[in-house]
Amino acid sequence: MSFLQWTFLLGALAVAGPVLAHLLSKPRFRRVPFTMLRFLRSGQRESQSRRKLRDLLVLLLRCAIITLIAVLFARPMLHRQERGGEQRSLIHVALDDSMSMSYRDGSRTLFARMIEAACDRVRRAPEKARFSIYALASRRSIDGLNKQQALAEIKRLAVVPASADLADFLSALRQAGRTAPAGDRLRVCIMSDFAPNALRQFEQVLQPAPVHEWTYELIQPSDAAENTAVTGARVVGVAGSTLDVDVTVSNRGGTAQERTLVAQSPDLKEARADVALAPKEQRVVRMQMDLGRTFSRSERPSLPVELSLAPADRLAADDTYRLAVHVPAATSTRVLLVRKAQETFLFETALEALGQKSSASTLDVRTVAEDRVTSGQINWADIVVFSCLPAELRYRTRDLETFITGGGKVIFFATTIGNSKIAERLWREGVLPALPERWVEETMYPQARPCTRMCPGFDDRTARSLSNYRPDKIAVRGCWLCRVPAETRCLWRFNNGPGLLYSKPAGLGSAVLVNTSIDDSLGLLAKSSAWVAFCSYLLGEDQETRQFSFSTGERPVLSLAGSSRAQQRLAVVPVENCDGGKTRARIEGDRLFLPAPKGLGWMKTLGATALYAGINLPADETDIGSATSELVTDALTRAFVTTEPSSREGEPARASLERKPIWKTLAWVIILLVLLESTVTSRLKR
Amino acid sequence: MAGTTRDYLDPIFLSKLANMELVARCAVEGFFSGLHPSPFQGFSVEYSDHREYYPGDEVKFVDWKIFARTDRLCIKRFHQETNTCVYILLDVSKSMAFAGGQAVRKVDYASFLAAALSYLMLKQGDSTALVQFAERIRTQIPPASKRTHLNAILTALQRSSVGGRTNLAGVLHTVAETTKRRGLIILISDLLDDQGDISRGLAHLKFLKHDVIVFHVLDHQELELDYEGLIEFEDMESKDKVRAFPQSIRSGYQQRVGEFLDDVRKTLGKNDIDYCQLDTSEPLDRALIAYLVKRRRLM
Repeated sequence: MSFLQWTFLLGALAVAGPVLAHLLSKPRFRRVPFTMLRFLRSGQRESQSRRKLRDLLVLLLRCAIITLIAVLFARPMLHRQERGGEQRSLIHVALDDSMSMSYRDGSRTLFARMIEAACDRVRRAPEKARFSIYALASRRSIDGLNKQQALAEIKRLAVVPASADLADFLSALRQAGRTAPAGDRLRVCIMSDFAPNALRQFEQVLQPAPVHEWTYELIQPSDAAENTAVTGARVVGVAGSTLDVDVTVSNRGGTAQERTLVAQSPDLKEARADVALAPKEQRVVRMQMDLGRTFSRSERPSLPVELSLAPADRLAADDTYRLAVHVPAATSTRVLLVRKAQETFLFETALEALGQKSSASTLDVRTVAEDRVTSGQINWADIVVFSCLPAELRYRTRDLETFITGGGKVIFFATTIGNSKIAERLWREGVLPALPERWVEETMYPQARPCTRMCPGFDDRTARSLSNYRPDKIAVRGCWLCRVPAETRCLWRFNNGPGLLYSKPAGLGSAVLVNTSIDDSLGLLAKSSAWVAFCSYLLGEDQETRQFSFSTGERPVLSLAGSSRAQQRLAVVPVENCDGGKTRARIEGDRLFLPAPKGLGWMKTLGATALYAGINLPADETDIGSATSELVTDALTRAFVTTEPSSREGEPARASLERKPIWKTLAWVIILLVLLESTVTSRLKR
Repeated sequence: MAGTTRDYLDPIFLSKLANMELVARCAVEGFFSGLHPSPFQGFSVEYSDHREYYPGDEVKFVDWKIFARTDRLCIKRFHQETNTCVYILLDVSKSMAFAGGQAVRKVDYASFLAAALSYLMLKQGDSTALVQFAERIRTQIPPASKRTHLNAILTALQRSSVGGRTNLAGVLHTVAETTKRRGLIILISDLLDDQGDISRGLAHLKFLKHDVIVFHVLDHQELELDYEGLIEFEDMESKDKVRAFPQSIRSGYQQRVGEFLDDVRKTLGKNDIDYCQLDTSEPLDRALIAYLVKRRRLM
């Protein structure tokens, strides 16, 4: 007998539980005065011995049950020497049920042809052969089938909107190679159109699966394929009331195609463009959709744009591409820069660079002296940046507090000097996220990456790009050791421990303390190449138009930046999946994690303002006809290693050793033991 | 004691007993007339017949009226009926304090029985004695036939308290040696002593021509062992402890108790001793009446 998951045998150590319970438990006796003890004594001796026997029996039964459960989980295989040593075939049939197989080739689809071929192969197989059927896209697998069962299983398969995934199949093959009865022949047959992504997976196999024989059948259109697909789309931007989208259209067939590309979105006028493609040509077509004068960015932040080719060809599934366009509510960010003198020069330069970088949004920057700042100016801004901790307050701190809770962001830079009383007051009133207490003057370096990836108001993508500038090489002359309340998060640290960036969310906004100067007086950060990226990270995500389209194998994640802040504060959002089923999505920071898509189509949040995510086929999923026999043979040679059944060590030349799983027998034994245990226990109570 | 003196003389209960006649199997000598037939003739108050006078007969028995009428000397003979002396031996050892479930203590049950029997005997004019014992005789009320003697017995019953171990055989030998007159010995006990010793003690009494009746008082739980769960049984006299699981030993226990009762019955039957097993869960009057009916049938 051998075990496939022997580590579960360690679970048998749990028998120590009942054994200890048996040893430690003491029965509780009720004391009763009595007279005729002489008639009890002999019976009592008998009773105690019987009771001990029963206790022991129950203990043994319980130990046996636990041990057998552990053995069951370890998946035992019984080895049995078969007489005559007749060789048996274990045929693993992998069938491609991906969407590309729905290509209509004449009157039938490639999939139907594949099923027919698979059935023929099964029928031709030896009578005693056992089959394992794998569906590569739906990842279904059924083992140990006889011929009739295998035929029935193959006929049950259907095309699913997904790509072939070989990882499970190859893993199952390796497992089968380990557990197959010695002397049996492990044969593999793969039937597929071998689309580029499938071939790529075969080529990238690191550990080839040992088999005795492998073969494949390339299922391809009988003549030159006629298939054009929309393989991608990219939002260029929103210029005025026009949405520009670049659409990639590919002719994957061998004949020239003339098609019409149609861009549609509910309540918007559709856009059309004629596309003429030579065989194997790929072209990018810019589609311009008129958003109309009445289009409201705040009411419809997410636009589902469907890009489709007309008329449909032989493979309709890749003729449509779904692109969700998230249009920001505002195109301008207003920054109020509060300064003492000219120390904000580098920061202003960085803002200017940021303003030029983004084509879709602008930065409106106003600069005001610290002693002249007013409540009105604060209320005008989206972001207020203090070049240092204020030395005096000419406005009410309550205004700052209201500004933050209303959705604004206040950024304080630190200097070596400052009014500690004012700072403490700001800290107490929740405007300052951390209170600088002691200045440490030593050279230190920020960490390469932020401590936390997800934080409302800060862009993870910008943080990743900022880390490319290697902040850990930029020296800073010193920093404040701060008192940090529980609600404040340290987003970025110095290498030796103190925080570089503290953020405290309050209401819909946040307050930020940057533990270094806005100029170069405290270090080289402001003069480094990372400064612009750092300022971009501080200000948060720019108001770009974003797009969300995913392939069926991906887990969709939407950025909520630019959507309503009230929506960002929710933890769970109801969503509708592609198949129309209702489910829930999780929000972490400003990211919305959607569940795994079910099919092709739209996933959208349910609520006043819906956010869409388009689910499409992987780009090269329907690139049929590109594979050749040489390519496939080469790829499969890398994926499989051929061995001979008789070459195994310690095996009789003609004997066949069958390994039979005995979990069913074990399960029944466990059930019987459980019943027996309950019977004995109840008898004990009687 | 659970009740007062009046409790033992409950009129309904007594009215049931009053209709019954307890007839001694053997005639014993007595001082008063009663229902018991006497083997002794000549000293009596009831006329039997006449016979001719022979020289040597006492002159005081000559019927002078017949001599005046017939001129013949005749002696008057009497058929005498006497009372019997009843000794009630009541076991008040600690084991008699047992009460299982809702039943009364065995000693209470036995006391009710002793009181009822005393009343019955005294109503018949028999001399009644009460002996309460455990390892030895603790209380002894000598025999008397006065109606007022009942109060003495009932008071003794009322004041009795349980205690001590059973030494039934020793007590029976003591009673056999100290009783001056033959009579009826009523033993009320749970017989929880060595069975051979008990048998020998009772045989001693029978040897002295006593008529012996044994009322074997047992609790329902002693007969059935109707307990549940894990029990530590503690002996009321020896304080020995036995841990048992009654459910599993019940049948064996009942079998052994049955064998014990059969042995008792057989041993007493061999010695021509009447035996009546009483269950404290059963009504006392019903048990008594059942016994008395059986007794009359024997007579």
